[in-house]
Amino acid sequence: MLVEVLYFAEFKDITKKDTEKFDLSSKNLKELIDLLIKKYDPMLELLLDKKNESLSNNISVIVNNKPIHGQDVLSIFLNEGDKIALLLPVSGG
Amino acid sequence: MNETKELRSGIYNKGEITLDEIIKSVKNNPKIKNVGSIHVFTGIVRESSKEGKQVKSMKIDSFDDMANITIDDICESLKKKNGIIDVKIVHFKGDFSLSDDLVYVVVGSAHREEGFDAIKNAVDLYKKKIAVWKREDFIDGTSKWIH
Repeated sequence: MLVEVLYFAEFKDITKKDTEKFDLSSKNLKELIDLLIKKYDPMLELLLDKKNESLSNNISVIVNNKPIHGQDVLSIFLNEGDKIALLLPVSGG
Repeated sequence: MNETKELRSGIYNKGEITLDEIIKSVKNNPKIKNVGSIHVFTGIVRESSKEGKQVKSMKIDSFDDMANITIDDICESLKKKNGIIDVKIVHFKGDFSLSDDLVYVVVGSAHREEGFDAIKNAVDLYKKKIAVWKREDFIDGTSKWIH
């Protein structure tokens, strides 16, 4: 199942890309996060908390332009073609 | 008759739109006769970071879809306030040099007091809420995304 990740700010600097597609088997966000960290080492510090157990409180998850809320965000299910953005706190000019 | 089209608030590429065009758009508002003051805020690139490091240039990245929705929400919520006739927020993205314009906020209000309040609220809100990020590039060759 293919999903697309949209990169902004640090994530764009790390990946040198605007977007990237990933093929998921388990259809949940945790698998996508694991794949991102495996492919891009610097993402570990940005995405996970200090114990590397859950998503950092600094990260907002957006799926198809809609913010995802809730404590267990890593377990949310994704669908074919979903566009996922992982956002750090904003800083307007 | 003024033929300037209504200009949408939102994210634009650097230099894609001028402050003059935004003011003209506010002046073209059908309710312009209710406006007694037009207030302008311009955010520009500062030479030093909050930590005192010397900035060489700046990059602005944005999640346009989300940022445009939030900018519209901010403008619409402020326009519901008493005496606020029009609010425009334009935020640029791209690569910027020192003193380049980054953002314009223009408010048309019936009286100056509401206008001063609205422009402060608009700036406070866009800085906290819109999906835009800035990276300061320093003269020592390092860079830092600001959060």
